[in-house]
Amino acid sequence: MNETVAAPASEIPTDADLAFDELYRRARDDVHAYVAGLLRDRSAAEDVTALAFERAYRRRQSFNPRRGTRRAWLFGIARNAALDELRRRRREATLVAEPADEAAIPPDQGAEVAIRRAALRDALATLAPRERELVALKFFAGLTNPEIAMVIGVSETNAGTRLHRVIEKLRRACDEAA
Amino acid sequence: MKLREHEMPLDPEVERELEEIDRALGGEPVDSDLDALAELARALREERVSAEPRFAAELDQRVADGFPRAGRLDQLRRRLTAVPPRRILAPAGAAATLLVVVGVAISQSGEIGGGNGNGGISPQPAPDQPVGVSPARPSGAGAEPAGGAPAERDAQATFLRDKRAASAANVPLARRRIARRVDLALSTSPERFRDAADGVLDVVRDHRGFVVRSNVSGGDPDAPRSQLGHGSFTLRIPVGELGAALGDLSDLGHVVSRTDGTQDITSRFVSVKKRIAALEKARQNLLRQLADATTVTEQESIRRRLEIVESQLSAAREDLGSAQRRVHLVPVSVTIDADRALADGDGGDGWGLGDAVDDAGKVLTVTAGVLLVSAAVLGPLAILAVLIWLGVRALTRLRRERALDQI
Repeated sequence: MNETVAAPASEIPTDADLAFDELYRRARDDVHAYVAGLLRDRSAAEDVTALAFERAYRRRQSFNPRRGTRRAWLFGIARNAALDELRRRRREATLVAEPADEAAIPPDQGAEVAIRRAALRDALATLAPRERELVALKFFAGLTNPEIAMVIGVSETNAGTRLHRVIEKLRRACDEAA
Repeated sequence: MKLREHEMPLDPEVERELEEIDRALGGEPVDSDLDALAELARALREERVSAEPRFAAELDQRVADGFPRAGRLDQLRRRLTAVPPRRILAPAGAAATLLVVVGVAISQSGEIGGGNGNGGISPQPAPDQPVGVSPARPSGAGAEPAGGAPAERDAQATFLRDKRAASAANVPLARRRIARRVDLALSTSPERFRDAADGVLDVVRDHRGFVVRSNVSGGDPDAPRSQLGHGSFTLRIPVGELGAALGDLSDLGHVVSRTDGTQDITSRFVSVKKRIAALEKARQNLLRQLADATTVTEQESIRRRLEIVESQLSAAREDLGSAQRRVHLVPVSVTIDADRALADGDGGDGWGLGDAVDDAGKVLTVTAGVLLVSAAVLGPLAILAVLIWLGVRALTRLRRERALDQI
């Protein structure tokens, strides 16, 4: 005898549910890395990341593919949540950046590598927030240049130019430190 | 032609470097002259902060649960406590102002329009034209000396002054004197015409009114069209019985038309009463003067003036009575016409297809009116809400961007 067990309609995942699940699996660490890079505060980054995914989940039905990729849409939400957090913290107290975790440099790495990484971190610390955001989007979150342009609301050319300027700035700072 | 920045292509060298960075991040080999750049890109990638396993597990669980909502009240309380008071004050003030504006607009809208008096809205009493209360001169009053005697002149002056001052505006609404008038046109089937005409008289009797004039002609059901029945009645119905009487009259046939008219004659009452008071005072003065008169000539003169004043007083009292009757006994004009079209089944007093079409039209008209008024009220509010929403959105975006500049 064949028996078919039907799940309640409310439990059957929709296309939007499935797309969100896949987006979450692919982007969870990237979103966290981007937010942490922007806020420089692990605890706040966790809160903001969770909030961003919750907002994206609630609005998953309203995603419009004609306005960009799902990933860019998610990072737009994460960016708004992170900027709201920055505003909140600016109202409450001056933002104090979390000190760099020196222990994060593996002890087995050579001294030269350690020096280079320290120089890079110093250079990163000198970046303006907008520049740091570009670094976070490109190198921490792994967004493509068109996606970066979409998230920060500028043209692709503009995003590429800005990104190149930041990299140049970092390169000069690292060279000077060396 | 100067290209804007977003239209300008990237510098080829910049474009190449960006592509090499992407290759380096993707683990692909890069051009040897850009090794340093690739190394920088990889080093930057290594600066990426990884999520704590604990956090990742918690978030995974929340996603699996579909981000369960806290209770509505908890959410509201959390939101309210998260917002600084100074950020609540401005929107709350704006909302309160908006409420006041809407309230005032709604209260004012009640004074706009007001209907035509036939649409179920209380008809506006027309301001009274001072009714002809000019004193009826007695015959022979032409002997009145030019300029008039002092007492009569006083009374006349007082009357004119009072008449000008007799503004009815100060009289409370409940005490205003409203004269009503109703015109009712009925039609019946030829067979029922006689019963309807007789019914008018029964209704008048039942409601303690009287017939001023009546004229009934025709009424033979088989008569040619030009000789079908026609009746007209001029009635007086006590104001207290008017509603019930009109209801009974309307039941006698199909109501073709009904016109209700009102006239505010408060000022007429006020001026006549003041005039009576002034004339009575003048009469008293003349009587005192007559008692004090010493010569026959003087007595004769006063008596003539006294006669004039008493005549005017009588006319004024008659005028007052007339006005009171006008208020208490409402003139009702009724016409009844026999109509052969109503002789068939769906005519007469029944509710038929024509009535249904009429009723449907009325319902649609009222519905359209309600929608129009709603649109007039809600349209501007919706536009305002959209503008506020756009403004808040733009402001929020601006503040977010500024947050990046002000760290």
